[in-house]
Order: sequence, then structure tokens, then C-alpha cells
Amino acid sequence: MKLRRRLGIEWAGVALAASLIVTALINWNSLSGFDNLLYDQLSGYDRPEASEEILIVAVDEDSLAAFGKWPWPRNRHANLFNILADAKPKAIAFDILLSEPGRTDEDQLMAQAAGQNDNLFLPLHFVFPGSNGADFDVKEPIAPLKEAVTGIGHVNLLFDRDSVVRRTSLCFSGIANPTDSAETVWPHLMEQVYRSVRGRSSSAFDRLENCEQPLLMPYASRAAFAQVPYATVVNGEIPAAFLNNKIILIGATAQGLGDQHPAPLGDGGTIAGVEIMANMLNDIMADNFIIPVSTGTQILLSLIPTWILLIGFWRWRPRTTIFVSIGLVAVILVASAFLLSFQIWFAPGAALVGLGLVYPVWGWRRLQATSDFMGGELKNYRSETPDIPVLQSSLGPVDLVTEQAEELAHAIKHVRDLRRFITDALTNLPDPMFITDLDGKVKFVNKLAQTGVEDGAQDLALDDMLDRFVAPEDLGDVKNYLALDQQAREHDYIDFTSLNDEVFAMRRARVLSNEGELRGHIHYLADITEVANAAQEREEVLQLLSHDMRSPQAAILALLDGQDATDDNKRIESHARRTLALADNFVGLARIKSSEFSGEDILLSDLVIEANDSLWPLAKQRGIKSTVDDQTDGAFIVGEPSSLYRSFANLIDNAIKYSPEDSQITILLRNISLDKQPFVSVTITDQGNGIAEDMLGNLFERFASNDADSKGAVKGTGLGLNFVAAVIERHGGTIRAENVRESGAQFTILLPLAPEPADAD
Amino acid sequence: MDETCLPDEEIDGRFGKIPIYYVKLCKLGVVALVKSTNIDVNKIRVGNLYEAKAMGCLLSLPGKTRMRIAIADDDREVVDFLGKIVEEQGHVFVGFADGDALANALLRDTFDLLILDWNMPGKTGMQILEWMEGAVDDRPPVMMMTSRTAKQDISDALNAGADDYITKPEDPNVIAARINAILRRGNGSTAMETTAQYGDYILDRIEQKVRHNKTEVALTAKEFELTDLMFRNRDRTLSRRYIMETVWRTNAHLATRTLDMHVSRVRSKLSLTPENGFRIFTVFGYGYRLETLSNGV
Repeated sequence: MKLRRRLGIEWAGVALAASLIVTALINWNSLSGFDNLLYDQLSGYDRPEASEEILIVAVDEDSLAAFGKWPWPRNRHANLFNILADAKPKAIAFDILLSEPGRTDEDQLMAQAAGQNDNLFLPLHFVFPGSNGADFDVKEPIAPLKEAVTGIGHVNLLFDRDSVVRRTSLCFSGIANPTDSAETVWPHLMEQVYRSVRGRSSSAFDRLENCEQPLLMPYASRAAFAQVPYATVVNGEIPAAFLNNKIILIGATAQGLGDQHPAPLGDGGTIAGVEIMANMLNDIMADNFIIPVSTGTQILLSLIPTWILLIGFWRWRPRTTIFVSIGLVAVILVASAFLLSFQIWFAPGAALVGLGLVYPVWGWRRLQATSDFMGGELKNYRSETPDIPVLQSSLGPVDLVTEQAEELAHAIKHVRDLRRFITDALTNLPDPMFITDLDGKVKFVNKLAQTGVEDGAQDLALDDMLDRFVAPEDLGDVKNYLALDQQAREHDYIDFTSLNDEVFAMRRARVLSNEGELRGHIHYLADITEVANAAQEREEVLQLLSHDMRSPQAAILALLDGQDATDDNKRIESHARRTLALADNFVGLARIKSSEFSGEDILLSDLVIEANDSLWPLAKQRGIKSTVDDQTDGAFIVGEPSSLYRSFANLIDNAIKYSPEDSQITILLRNISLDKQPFVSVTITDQGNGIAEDMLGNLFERFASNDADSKGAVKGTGLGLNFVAAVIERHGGTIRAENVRESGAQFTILLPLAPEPADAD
Repeated sequence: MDETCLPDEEIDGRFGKIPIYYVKLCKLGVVALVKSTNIDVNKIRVGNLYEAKAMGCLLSLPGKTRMRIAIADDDREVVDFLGKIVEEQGHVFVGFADGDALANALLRDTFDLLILDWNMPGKTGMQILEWMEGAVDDRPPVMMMTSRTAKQDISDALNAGADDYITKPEDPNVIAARINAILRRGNGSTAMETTAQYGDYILDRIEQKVRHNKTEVALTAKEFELTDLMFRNRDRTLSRRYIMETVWRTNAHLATRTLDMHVSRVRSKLSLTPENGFRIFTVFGYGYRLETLSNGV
């Protein structure tokens, strides 16, 4: 859980940082170097065809050689204009700035020659920053020329950061005069030329939202445009038919003249300004400008692959992520090239940087978090498991993560050893056991439980396991036990017989995790077959005594009933009755020792009265008057009626036996309080000779009997008082025997009163 | 008082229809008298009378004296001993040495009473009890005879449908009284009278008073009803439930101590002691029995 949270935070951090960095890179155009390089490369694969309409009249080295060094007198240009006017080209763009006045006659001559042409265009340019606080100054051609030509257009170039001219704008807008609030729009010279040739503004121009929107110019191959030297035209070496119907661009190409600019032609070389114009016009006519995506779109598109990867980090394995990242790089590049073929430029640099950034950074943060977590867990494990030996690395210094990984492997090995040890211990437990999970599937079975189930118990459902193990008649009870709320009955158990006739006591314990979550249950089976057999045997002995031995005695008594009451018969009857009493007491004692106390509400006075009533014939024979004096008014106790009844009968029987003829036996019941606890006391007093002093101490022990009395006629059963003492003790009471001076023996029994029932009415 | 004498219902017994007349007696519930005008009284078995009893009626029949009693015990001495007691009471008996023989006889023969030993070869007494539930239509009353003394065994037998039980060994007089109590159940030679005498006790059912040795004993209404119930069913083991339903007329669970205390008071107020010829005997886990002691009367 801790690791998850930490990784979540780390992930969010990485995602945020990557997104910000990508955004910033795009915003500040920091990756233009890479992007431009890629653009140059990509655009080189599909260069536009040069239009044959365009003809460059170049002021080249040959022309300089023919006419001398630059600048030339302006009447030479007038000469050219005159020649061109005769040839009737479609349009002429004169890409040489003429913003400062020359000699007046020559300027006049040139304006005149220019006026001969009905489609001659001259350039203007802007100077940044402008004078007197203006943003820029407009440098127009000198006034006579400006009036003579068909139109003027701007020729400012847009340089990228690497000074390469890739972009252009078809117009320029701005406030030339600070006092004038209206914006002026100057179309580009080439746009002007196009308009004069085609009679309408270009489609590219129409699509512009504003003049600032840059367009990328695809360049035709170097020297793709037809070009003739200035000198040859002026010298009349070019036939007029060749010039006819051409769009003629006049400009300097000679290296020394300075109008040379780097262009994305793939060779790193420069290109003359007039050639840039030619390319631009070519693009306008073919309408194949490339439009870069807007900054917002660029950011959005660049973030997509990064986020795919970021989300993928949660799902994919590291190996997958690396393949995916490589794939994404390819996808970005392909997409970029693909878009370019549709004249849209998406610079992939930022997207690639985002990908390149997020992969290692996440790898690092993840490793860090995992390493910290692992370190913590290992520390915990070591502190909880003090017996794990510290790993000694003999190979000198190793990197931390390696060390941790080794330690982890070490700990896992230790756990595995421990697990094996526990499994072995469980497997070889002397009693069967098995473990179930929360779904009731058997997860572990030890050897002994396994042998009870024929096809193996692993992964069986608990119910199936029981079906194969427990005898059908006990199945219901066992299932009921398992359905009980375990928390309440943790120490309870259930006995059942297996299909192999073994008897088991089954106990169920909960398996809890460190956090106290319930994981499953251990079912522990104790083989109590022998104990059960012993109990069974004892039960059989008791059965024998309580029934089979009683029956013949009863038969003897039945037989005697019809006989004359001779002395012998009386003695036989007495012995038969004694045997019966002996068996009853013995069985009673055995049952007390082998069974749980289960008491019920008993009205003690009535129980004592009934015990006394049952002995009335015996008392009457000897003229003894035995009376119960109940002073309790309803003393209820919690007791086992049979054994209590038998106990009081034993005591009263004894009293009658040891009393002289025609004497009194008094049985007194009273409520008394002992240590603030309510008790009922029963006192049985006779008028006999009392108990021999040496007998008083061990009267309630087994086989102690007061029968060595001089009278000889009465004999105790030997077990009678022992039984009584056991019963009274079982009821939480006490019994005391003593001799009373004026009369005989006195037995006092104290028994705790039952609590008042809640629903007494 | 005893005014209504209309035949409300008939009992369709094996020996024809027996008209029943209800006689309402003050506070004593409904008593049914069977008039045996058309039928041979000697052919009426106790089993027939059970049907009437099941309807909540106490039956009274003109004296049918001689009963056929089956005694099953693997101990011949016991069979002879019991047989002698039964014959002294003017009944006849058939002895069986094991449960299976008795079961065969029950399918062909009719008896007015079964005395069963608990442990027998073949079917035990308890098994006979269970077997009769399905196999015999009009089962006769059953007296269980057992050497077992455990409280649980006795209450099990009674709850399984035995009508009474005797623990061996038992005094012949007690056995005779108990057998008669069972047979008397339907065959009450004493019809419900306004006064009745049991030993030295005279019950006045109208005044709800008991006189003992000419002194009048003051009893509450419930105590009198309890006394009357026990005297009428003397020597018969009554379940607590039966007593409660009859005396308190409720099925609802009555606090058990209430009955204990009533029995205790009746015992002490009436001095029901062996000297006076009676003793109340608690059958733990089942109920009570008022025993008559012949030697005391």
C-alpha cells in the first residue's frame, strides 16, 4: 500500500514535469534546430517542379564582367526595361532596391523606360526599428519610379533562427506612421506579380487569417528555374520571343553583391534572393505552401505520445514500455512525414523529447521508490525475524539496488526455508489437519488427513472433503459446527466418526493475517478413537452394572416375595437389596465423574420429603419416626434430582440403620446466609450411638463404612457416603458429620440457593 | 350442575357406535359418560376408550372387570411374579419371553394392557412402543418395566408414549395399584360424584373442600383442582404438561416453580405422608404421581 502511494505521487510528478517541459519547449521554440533539420531532410524528398513561365534575369558574375562593378548607372536598367517592353513578358519584378535617388537624369530615364512596361513591379522594404520611435520605416522606390511602375510589393525575408529562409509571409501589415492609427497592408512583391498575371489574389493569400501567419516554402531544386544573364539581355543576345510571355524576375545572383541567403536545399549552400522570389512565386502559382500547425495543436499532439507512455507505465512491463516507446518515436516521425505530404508541418522534436524524457525519469523514480520501499520492508523483516543472518557481500562495493535485490533474494530464500520447515512440520503432525481458505477450498492437507481421503484433498471444496472423510450419520453435525460463528466458539470442538470408523475430535481455528484479516481456517483433528473406545467400554460396564446386574437381583426379590418370611429369606432379601444399592451407588459415582453437571430447578424440601417417604416402610418396621421440618418456605436449588434424591435417601437410610428402635430422626431445613450468599441447610439428626471417633475423619472416603458396629444387623453399602459427598460437592455444597451430645450422629448439608427466576410470577 | 344429558356425539369404535353424553359439572370441565345400552360391555377394550379420552373427555363405563394383559419380560421369574399380581386383581395374562413374539401376537390378538420390559431379546420395550405407532391401530396402554433408574431413561420412556413405568424391584402392592390406575383410566368404576372418598380424605367437589380425619382443610381453588386431579388419577404418573393444561387450562409455559409450589403446599396442607396412606412422588423431568400405600390405609 505504501509503495503504491509513493509510486502514484512519483508518477504524477513525472507526468507533470514532462508535460510542462514539452509545453515550454514548444512555446520557446527551443527545438527549432532539430525540427528544421528534419524539415529540411523531409522536404528534400518531394521538391516542386519549377514553372517554365518564370525566367530569372540575373546580375551575375558575367554581367559584372561585361558592365563593370556594381552599382551600375541607372540608365542601364532603363535600357533593360526598354528591351523588355518590346518583348512583352507577362510581368516583370525588379528585385533590386531603388530607394535612394541617383543622378536625376538617369532616374528620369529609368522612370521613363519603366513606364514603357505595363506590368513592372518594384520592391519596397522595411527597416527595423524605424526612426522617430516608429516600429519600422518603409523604404519605397524613389518617387519618379514609383509613379511609373504598375505596382510595388515588399520583399522582406523571414529568417529562421539558423538564418535559413524557410518561411515567408504573403503580406506585411503594420502601422508605418505613429500618428496614423490605421494599419497598412503591403502585399508581397510576388503576390503582386501573381495578381497582375492571374488577375486575382492567390488562394494562399485568401486563406491567410493575418499577415503574421507564416507559410513554409517548398523549394524547387537548385538552378531549376530558367536564368539568363543581365548582360545578354541588354546586349540583345536573347531573342524577344524567349522573353515573351514569361514572368521575369530581375535580381542579383553574383556572390559579391551580398543578396545571398541560406536556403533549405539540403546542400548547406546559399541561394540568391531572386531565386527565393522565384521559388515563392512558383509556390504561389502551384499553391503548395506548407502550413505549420498552431502552437496549441502542436502542444496537444506532442503530449499524446508522452501520456500514452505514462499511462502505459501502470499497465505494461518495462520490456513492453521500451518497445512501445521506440514504436511511438517511429509513429511520431512517420506521422510528421505523413502530414507533410498533406502540406501540414508538425514539428516532432518536443514530442520526441517528451518521450525521451519520461521514460528514463520514470524508470529512475520508480527504481528509487521501489528501492526505498524494499529497503524499508527488508528492515522490517529483519527486525521481525532476528534470526535471519545478515548477508555478507564478499565482492566489494556493489550498487545499492543490487545489494537490496541480493538481500531480498536472501530474505525470500529464508522465507522459503521457513515455509518448508513449517510445511514439513505440519505435514508430519501426528494428527490430521487441513487448512481451508475463505472460499471453503482446501489449501493444505497434511499427510495423515490425506490418507483419509482417497483421491487427495488438495483444492477440494470443504464439503466434498467432509463427504469423503466423515461418516454420513455425523456429516450433518460436523457441517453445523463449521457453520457456527467461529469467533464465539474458538475453543469448541465436535466429535465425529470417520468413514474408517476412527473417532476424531475436530477443532477449527482462524488464520489471520498480520493486519488481523481473516484468511482461512485450520481444521485440527485429534484422533480420539481410543478415548472414545474407552468411554464406550466404560459405558458398557455401567450398563452392565445398572441393568444386567440389577435384573437378577430384582428377580431374586420377586421370587422371595411369594415365600414365607423366614429368617433366611429375610437375609437373602437384605443381601439382594444391598447388592442393588451397591450397584446404584457405584454407577452413580461413575456417572458423576464422567458427565457434565446439568442442573434444573428443584424444590429441595419436597425432594427431601420424598426421600424420607421412600424409607418410611423401613423406619416403620423398626418403630422409628423420621420427620421433615421444613422452615424454608420454598427453597429452590439448581441440582441433578436423581443423584440428590439418592444422596438424601442414603443419609436417611443410614440414620435409620444406626438408630435404636422407637427413636426419632429429625430432618431440618433452614435458610441460612454464608458470606452473604444464600444457602439452604439440611440437618439430619438421629438418636443412635453416633459415629466412632476414628471414623469421623475419613467417613466420606470410599469403602469407609461404619458397619463394624456391635449390633451387626445393619451394614452400610460402603459406597453410600462417598457417593453423597461427591454429589454435594458437585452441587457446590458442603457436608459435615459430627456427633451431638444429647442425641446421635448429625449430618449437615449446605447447598447454594438457586437464583430467582426472572419470569417468576 | 349435572343437568344436560343429550347425545352430542358418537364414537365410532371397532365395536359400533357409542353414544356420548356430556355432563357438565361445576368447574370440573367436561366429563363424558358412555352409556353402554346396546353393546356388550365386555367387548369394549380400553383402546376404544382412548378415543374418547383423546377428545378430552373422561369416560365412565359400567364395570368391566376382567382384563387381558400381556406381560413381556425375558426373565421368567418376573413374568410369573407380575402374572401373579395381575391374577390377584382378577385379570388374565399372557406371558412373552421376547419382543418379537409379543409383536407377532399384537398383530393377531387384542390386549387391554401391555407390561413391557425395557431390555428384551428381539424388540426392546422402546422398540415395541415405536413399532406400535405404525403397525397397530388401537394400541393398548403400555406400562414400562425397567431396571433402569436414571431419570433420563424414565422420562424418555414416558415421552415416547408409555403410559406409566415401574422400576424394578417394586413392591407388589404398588405394582397392583399402578396397574389398576392404568386400567381405571377409562374404566372408572366410580362415576364423577359430588363427593368422593379416598382413604381418610373426603373431597367435596361442590364446596371445593377436603376433609381429613374430620378436620376441614382450607385449600385455594387451584389447590383443590390439583388435589382432585391427583386423587382421581392416583397411582398414575401425570405429566407436568397434563396437570398444567387441566388445572390451569393453559398451554402457555407456566413458570415451573408455580407447579412445584402448589404440589408442595397440597402435600403439606393435606399431610400426604405414608402414615396417612399416600405419598406424592416426583418423576423428575416428567411429572408427578400420587401413590396409595395399601399398608398405610
